[in-house]
Amino acid sequence: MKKLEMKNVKKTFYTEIGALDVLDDISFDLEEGEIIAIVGPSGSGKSTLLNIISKLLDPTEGEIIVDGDIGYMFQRDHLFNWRTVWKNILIGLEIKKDMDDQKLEKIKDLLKKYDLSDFINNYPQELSGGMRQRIALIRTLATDPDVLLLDEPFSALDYQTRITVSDDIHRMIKDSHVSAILVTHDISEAIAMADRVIVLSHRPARLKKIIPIITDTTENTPYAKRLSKEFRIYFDEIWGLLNE
Amino acid sequence: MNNPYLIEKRKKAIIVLMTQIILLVVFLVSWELCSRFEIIDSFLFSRPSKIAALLKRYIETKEIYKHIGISVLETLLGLMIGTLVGIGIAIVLWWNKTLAKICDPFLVVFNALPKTALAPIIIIWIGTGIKGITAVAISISLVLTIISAHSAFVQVEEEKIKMLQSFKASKWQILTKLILPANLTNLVSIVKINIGMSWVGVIVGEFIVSRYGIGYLIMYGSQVFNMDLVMMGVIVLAIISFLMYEVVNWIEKKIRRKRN
Repeated sequence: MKKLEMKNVKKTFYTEIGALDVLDDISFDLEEGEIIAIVGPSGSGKSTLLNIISKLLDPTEGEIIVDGDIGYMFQRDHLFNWRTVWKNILIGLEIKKDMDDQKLEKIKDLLKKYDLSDFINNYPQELSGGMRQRIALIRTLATDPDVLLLDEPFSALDYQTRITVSDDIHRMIKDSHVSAILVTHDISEAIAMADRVIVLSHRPARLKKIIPIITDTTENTPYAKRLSKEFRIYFDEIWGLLNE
Repeated sequence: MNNPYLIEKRKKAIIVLMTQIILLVVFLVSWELCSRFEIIDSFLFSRPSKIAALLKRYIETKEIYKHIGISVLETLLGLMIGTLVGIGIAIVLWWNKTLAKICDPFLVVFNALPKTALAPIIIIWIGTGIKGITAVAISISLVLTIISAHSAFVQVEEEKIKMLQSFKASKWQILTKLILPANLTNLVSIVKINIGMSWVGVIVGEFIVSRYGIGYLIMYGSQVFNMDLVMMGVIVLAIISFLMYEVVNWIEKKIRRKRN
């Protein structure tokens, strides 16, 4: 079942220096439970694409069909330092005025599963970057989104944390059966996290190729995929496409 | 308490405090002596013992409380109204960017203008007494409050707003859940600055026309060349504004501690 469909999306910005084509004829779709990674050269309009999907921006041409609600996760966790971890997680439900016992139970389960239950009364500034990013994901998942948009969610973390947190977040996404679009400039991360990788061209961004990632690993975790023999081949291919 | 770092820190704090007390005592004693031996003109410069004696008399007759009470009331009113209305206007300007752009040059001019120049006009328009003097106090703190609160509001990270918008937050929710709590410490700093501003307004207002208040005491004292009274007024003023400042400081520290 398709959770999201992009049909011939174009985006042009009008500025002082005139019209600037950012996206040109982008079409793809996202299956239920699937993770897609979007890679592209910097300034290729990856963030614009996410803003259009999340309806913060309108496309100039084309159409986006989203089946369900969208959750957004950013490069920085944006936890509020005047709220406890628990209150931070609840902010989405608070805004949507959609709090009930069942949802609270679900959040508590998530916290327990990722060993964060002991910290719910702490303030975010007392926690490490990796913990904060996992809490930010739980905050997003709390409102039960159908499609998750991840905008460079690991790039503010140090390398070691990044590897462990991406395993955790991959598991959280797969466990909660949401579909996700991950935007990143890190090729390895894209291959490790995603089921399919979309490669964009320089501005105006066009779809260069959609590459399904199939690895011969027993475990489906980002870390295991990083160690697979196919990893290097995919890396080479994407690297080549980005540098054409 | 065997932590050498803490012991060292305590030691330094004690040295600082002792030096401060010694400096104050040396200042008061030399003032007293210079005045007593007529090294400085005791009529123009008064002396601590005479000021203390006068203050004692004012306290005994309870007259001082009336003056302090009225000035503190005017200051607090000016502080509260100036701060709240100023923040309210800043919120309106944050809400409506076009309005903010329209108002910008007027605010800049008003801010650059020495507001004390407006005091006589305000008193003529509003009238004498508590009302007029409070209005002068408000006029001094209001514009700066609007400008600094508004610039703090617009500096809140765009992406944090986007995060709330991704939950479909309304503008009102963004204001109450992000903009205001994120700027709590900034707002307390504004209150801190406004205490001083409000006092300036009250004293200037009382200088112009009044029958009570610390500003009145100072003005009256200077007109009858009673320097003891002038000095007493200034000292009482210093003590009270220091106390008010410390109260807000204490609140600020509590907020900061919770957030860091």
